Amino acid sequence: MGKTSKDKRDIYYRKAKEQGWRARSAFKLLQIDEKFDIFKGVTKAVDLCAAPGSWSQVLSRKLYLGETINITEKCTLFHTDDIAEKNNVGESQVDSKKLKNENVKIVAVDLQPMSPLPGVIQLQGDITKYSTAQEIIGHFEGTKADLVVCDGAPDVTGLHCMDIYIQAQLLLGALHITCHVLKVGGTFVAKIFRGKDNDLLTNQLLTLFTEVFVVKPSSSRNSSIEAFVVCQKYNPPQGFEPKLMTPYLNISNKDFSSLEGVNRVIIPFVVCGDVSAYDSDTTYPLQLEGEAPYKYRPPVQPPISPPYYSSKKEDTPPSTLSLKKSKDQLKNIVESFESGSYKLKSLNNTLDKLNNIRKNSEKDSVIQEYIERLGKAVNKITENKNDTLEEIIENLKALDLSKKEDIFVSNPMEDLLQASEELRSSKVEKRMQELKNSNDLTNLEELYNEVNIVADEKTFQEFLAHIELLDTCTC
Amino acid sequence: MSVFKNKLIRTDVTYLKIVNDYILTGIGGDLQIFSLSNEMFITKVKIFSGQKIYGVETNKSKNKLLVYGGMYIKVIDFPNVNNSKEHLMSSVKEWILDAKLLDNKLCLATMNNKLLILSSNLDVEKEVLCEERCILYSAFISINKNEIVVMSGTVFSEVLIWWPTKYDNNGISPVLKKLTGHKGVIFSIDYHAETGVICSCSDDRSAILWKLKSDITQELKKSNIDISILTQVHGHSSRIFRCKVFHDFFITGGEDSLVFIWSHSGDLIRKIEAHQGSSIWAIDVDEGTKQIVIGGSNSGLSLFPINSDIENLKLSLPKLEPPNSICFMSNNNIASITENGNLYYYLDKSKSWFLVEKHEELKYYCLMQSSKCKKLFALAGYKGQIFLYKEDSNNLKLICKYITLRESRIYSFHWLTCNTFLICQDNGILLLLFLHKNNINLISTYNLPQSKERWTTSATFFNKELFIVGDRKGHLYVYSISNKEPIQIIKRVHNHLGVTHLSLDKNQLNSLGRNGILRTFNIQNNVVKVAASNKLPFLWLAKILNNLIIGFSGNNFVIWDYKLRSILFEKECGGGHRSWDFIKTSNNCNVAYVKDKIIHCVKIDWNSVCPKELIEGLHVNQINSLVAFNYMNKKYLVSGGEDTTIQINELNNNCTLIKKLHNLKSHLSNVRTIKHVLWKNQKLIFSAGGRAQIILWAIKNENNDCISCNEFCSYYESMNTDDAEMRIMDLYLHIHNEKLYIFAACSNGFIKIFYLDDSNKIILKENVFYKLKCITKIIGFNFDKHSILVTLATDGFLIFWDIKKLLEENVQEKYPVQSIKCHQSGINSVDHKIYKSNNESYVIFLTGGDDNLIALNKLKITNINGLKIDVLCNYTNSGVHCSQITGTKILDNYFFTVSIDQRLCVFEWTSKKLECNFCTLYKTAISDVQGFDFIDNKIVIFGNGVDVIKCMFKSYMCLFKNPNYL
Ligand SMILES: C[S@@+](CC[C@H](N)C(=O)[O-])C[C@H]1O[C@@H](n2cnc3c(N)ncnc32)[C@H](O)[C@@H]1O
Repeated sequence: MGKTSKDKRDIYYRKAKEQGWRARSAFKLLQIDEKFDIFKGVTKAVDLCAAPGSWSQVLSRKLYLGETINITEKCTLFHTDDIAEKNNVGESQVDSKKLKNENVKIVAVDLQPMSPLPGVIQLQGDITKYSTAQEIIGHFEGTKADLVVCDGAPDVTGLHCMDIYIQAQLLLGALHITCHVLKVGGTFVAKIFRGKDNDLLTNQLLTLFTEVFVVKPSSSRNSSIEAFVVCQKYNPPQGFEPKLMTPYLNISNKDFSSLEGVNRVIIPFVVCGDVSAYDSDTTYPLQLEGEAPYKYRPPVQPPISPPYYSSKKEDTPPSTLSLKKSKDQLKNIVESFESGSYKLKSLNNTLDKLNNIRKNSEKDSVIQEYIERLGKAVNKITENKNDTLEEIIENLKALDLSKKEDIFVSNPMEDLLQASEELRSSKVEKRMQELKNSNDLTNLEELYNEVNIVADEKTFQEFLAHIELLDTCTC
Repeated sequence: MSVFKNKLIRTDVTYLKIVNDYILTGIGGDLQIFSLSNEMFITKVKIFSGQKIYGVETNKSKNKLLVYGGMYIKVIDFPNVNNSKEHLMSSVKEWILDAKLLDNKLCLATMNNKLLILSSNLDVEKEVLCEERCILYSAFISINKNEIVVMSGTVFSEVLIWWPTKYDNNGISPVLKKLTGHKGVIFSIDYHAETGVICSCSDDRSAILWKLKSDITQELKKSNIDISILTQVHGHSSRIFRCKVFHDFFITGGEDSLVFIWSHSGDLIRKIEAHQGSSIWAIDVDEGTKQIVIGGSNSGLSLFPINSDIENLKLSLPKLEPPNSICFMSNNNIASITENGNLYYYLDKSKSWFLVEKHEELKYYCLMQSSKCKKLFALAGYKGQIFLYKEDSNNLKLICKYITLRESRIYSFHWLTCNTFLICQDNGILLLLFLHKNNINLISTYNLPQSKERWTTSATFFNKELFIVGDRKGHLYVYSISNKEPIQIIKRVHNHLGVTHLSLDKNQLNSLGRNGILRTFNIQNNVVKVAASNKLPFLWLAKILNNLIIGFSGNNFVIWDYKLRSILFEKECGGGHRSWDFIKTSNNCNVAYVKDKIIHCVKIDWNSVCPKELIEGLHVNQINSLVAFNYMNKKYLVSGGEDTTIQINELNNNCTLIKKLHNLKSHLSNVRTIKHVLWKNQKLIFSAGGRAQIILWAIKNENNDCISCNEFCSYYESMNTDDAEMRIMDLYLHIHNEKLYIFAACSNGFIKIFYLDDSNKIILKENVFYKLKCITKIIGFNFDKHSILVTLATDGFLIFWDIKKLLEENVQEKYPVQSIKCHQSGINSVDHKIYKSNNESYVIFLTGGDDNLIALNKLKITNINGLKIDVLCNYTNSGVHCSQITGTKILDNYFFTVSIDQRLCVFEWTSKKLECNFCTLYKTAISDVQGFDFIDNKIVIFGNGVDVIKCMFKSYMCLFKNPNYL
């Protein structure tokens, strides 16, 4: 798989890089906004579970920098590298002289650190932890937020009901914070997992908000259980004390009967994303009509290092090597061959490595070039090979043969194959018998030659009798 | 009483516990019980519906079980689990991470860092919250007399220790000690009081053993609590989900499907590759019999000994003579020819070497090959010499000598039977030789076709007329005994590193290569045809023996089980370029190889490395597609999934057991759809999915109890760099004019039209573009002489096409007949039904979407100046499901729907006005439900596993009796 393969599979991944978003998630928030106009009149906002920060980017640009963002156009802010080739159609709408909206307050929180963004206050912490909640609430002393968004998701374990439960806990954590900081009439947007019994939870949001929708942006994969709740017009019940939120809201609401019938309240499900918008299940060609020529771009914000990176000992190498690492490894191998300093002992390992690299990056031009160089180096060694090297070199040459071809079957003796068994054996045997009976030795010999059997007839018969038994041991 | 009865469930094994001689395991909502000593299933009992079991605890007297899962708990009798007349069941408000059952109460630790104490009739008596309020991924309750200490594992790398029975400040308990050392979520905690160690594991891929200076309650009383890291182990290549400590060792199991057994000082005792790459959530050990039981998320359950009994020997030759080649004889004896041409014989009994012969003539070059029966071996030389030795009551005897006419180097030597062998000499000359009465007779000679490396690397008889050889270039040649030239050539069966091994298994030929591929061929009327290819996780495959494949992975010698698809034994040996041999008897397995001029011999007690399978694993990941059908009086499930395999399972008659018949790994990417059809008296299966690949398989009933499955054809388009990676989402098979057409729904908005030619090849006929939307489903039907194709995509439309027009030649642009918007976004499932009333025909369309919506549309199709389709009336429901609807089926006047939300809903409907009534609901424990199929009166729900249920309701039963609906 080459570096473009993710681009090929996922249009929004590609678009996010083109437009300078740190994650494809940005489009989800933008599509929700397109439908529900959630940023209208908002000056104070909280972004929970914000890293790597694409939602915060949206907030920063919309609220702090006061931009209007057209999803379909290219934007050039926050690009970390070479993306700046502006094209005329998608002229950026940033007016650099425009005053920043200094009374805007954006607080972003995550477990992970994230790089700074203009106008965004960052906190690091666990939103389900009471102390983190206190810290966020502290930033809204005396004021209230107009909007709280939460895109939090756990690192899924594969046990879906547990993942769904943890997701619900994140939502409750976010809601707990929301109830403290959101002004009456404010908006709350949060990610949910649409799985087993999640309707029990979403239904209860109606006790806190006047309007609740379950929303699926078209940038969220069809096959994914992810969706969002958009809760508008915060309206807590009289005397509501956020600290005692749990009795109001609980995923284990035991009164199932009221929720299972067809007559229960059904929260409307809304799909958003313009009809013309891309959807993330469709395979789009890399070159889309009416767009500038496709060009590979590296991710805007490289992924934050996973916990095991810092583990003390070397881990067993991950099965798929990163491209960069592959190249470095390959480079070393090629150079060791070119300089003749390769070690025979480590060759087997090298071979496996090479095979891995090749598997992972068949279409990468740099890798192809290295492989070619390697081929040449190997050929050179071959010229003055010795016997022990022979097979190893053979293995290396193998790598040079990059062409993959299918199995090819040919039947050079088609007629013989088609012929019945009789023709091939019995008939011959019969004829032999005839000749033998008539003691026609010359012809018999000829027949033997013809059927290419050199053993004398008696041995041959014994041979035939033996192989009749095939797999049984006769020793 | 429920109208549905569970027959069989296969999904993640989420919990395992050994109690006395019982293995208790949670699979879905069922508690299944096996006997440890008999390795047999005993019974099962349904504990929860639609909820997985995450834990089982016993009380001290072991006559009760506390079973918990999610927020539910249940107490049942034990061991007569089916006896308990009335189960006590309750639900608490929070997810339970650990529980303990005491005589008069029980306690639970929840994900919200809380301890609950419940009375024996399950009323909550007390709640204590830890002062640190956060979510946990793991917790362990330690009970000593009446003291309860809780250890909780947080999202952010800490283990918190608190003592709720001692320190309780208005229901809040302080953290007494934080164990820091991990760098990620803590997934599991265990405490072994006797040895005073705590074990924790994390997504940082490490596990830590913590040592307490004294008993936990003693220690926590100290002002200076001393709990320090005893050892930290690394080795997993992914998150570690479970750990457990025992007296002498601790075990870890994780997402990488590996289980490690470590000593308390952190030394690796054993590494087990357990369930084909599926995550491990459940492990337990029986310390008495020293066995470990491991459950996988593929539903597999297997038992391994803790210690593998492996003996490593170094057998140096007298005077440390360097060996050239070795081979095993019977009784573990070994024959070896040295670089000096000395032939030695090792007697296992006396553990000593004997010099048998000095072969001056074999000094610089010698091939050594033993026959399959290990009673004979041959030495072959540079000048065409062949010496045959036979082992006879612990003696080696030279039985004959032979020199080929050419007197040239023998490149390779292959035993075909005990008395026949094939050798290859220069210029590709092959000699077929026959040993008869201690004499070697030349039967015939053959020519190996020209190539750069013109020698054979493997050979086998197929029948008494044909033998097959593989060459150094990876080609196969089929020879008839009476023909000098090959009668069939199969090129590029393996890569240019050659064919390493050929063997015959019943009527199938297997070939191995150094490209990690096992190919299987069928031979029909003496024509060899590829039946299947299987990709293994290591490259150098050397030998196949029953279920085992022997090979080399890097520098390691590997024994891999084909059925389990996992490595049973692995050992560093330096790689495949060396002389080695392998023998296996029913209980033992021996490997010998030459390394650093010494003969190494490994004796493996086979029972100690080989798992006992209590439950066979199913797919490693989600099943995307499954079809259930009856064929030749048997029931089959054919499924394909994210793990790229196609599996064929046989379902027993009352649907309580499945047996895996085939696990086919041929797809390059995931499998999205499977369709079957009876075509020209053959049962054909089409599977398709990622990388735009379609594979055609044929199922055949070989002899009454076994079906074979052959790969007829694999279609895929090789991509160039700029092509996007297209997936085939669904297929529709259409028979028209004695021709089988295949319509494929593609993720790039195309419909690909194929047909099957006479040699069963899939030929692309045409591509028809719909629009840049992923087409998710495709079906078709015949209606009044019209054949209509319907496609559904992520845009929520039902699109109707006239098949006749689609198949027309020379038409540039092809357009749909009509489109009807049914859903807001993607449609995931569809079914239709044609019915007549008052001489008019109607079509009912049932669709289920990504938008939680079930839509039923009644359509009228007319043909006046072209096809026209009108919606007469419709019904929608978005209330019964709360997630994507992934399966819908109409059955007479009922319809069924399933969704990711793990519900199966049944509705009754009337045809006239489409009035629909919700009838009943079933909750499955299968997550990620992708659909369902009917077989007789059973329903097979699939997703992350399978759930087979029976409809007990009378009126449904009648339905199923009517064969028209099945
Ligand atoms: C899907 S990402 C959010 C992406 C972000 N909205 C963006 O647009 O870049 C989910 C984030 O949730 C965070 N998260 C998960 N659990 C959390 C918790 N308990 N507290 C805070 N953050 C959490 C993860 O660290 C992760 O960065």
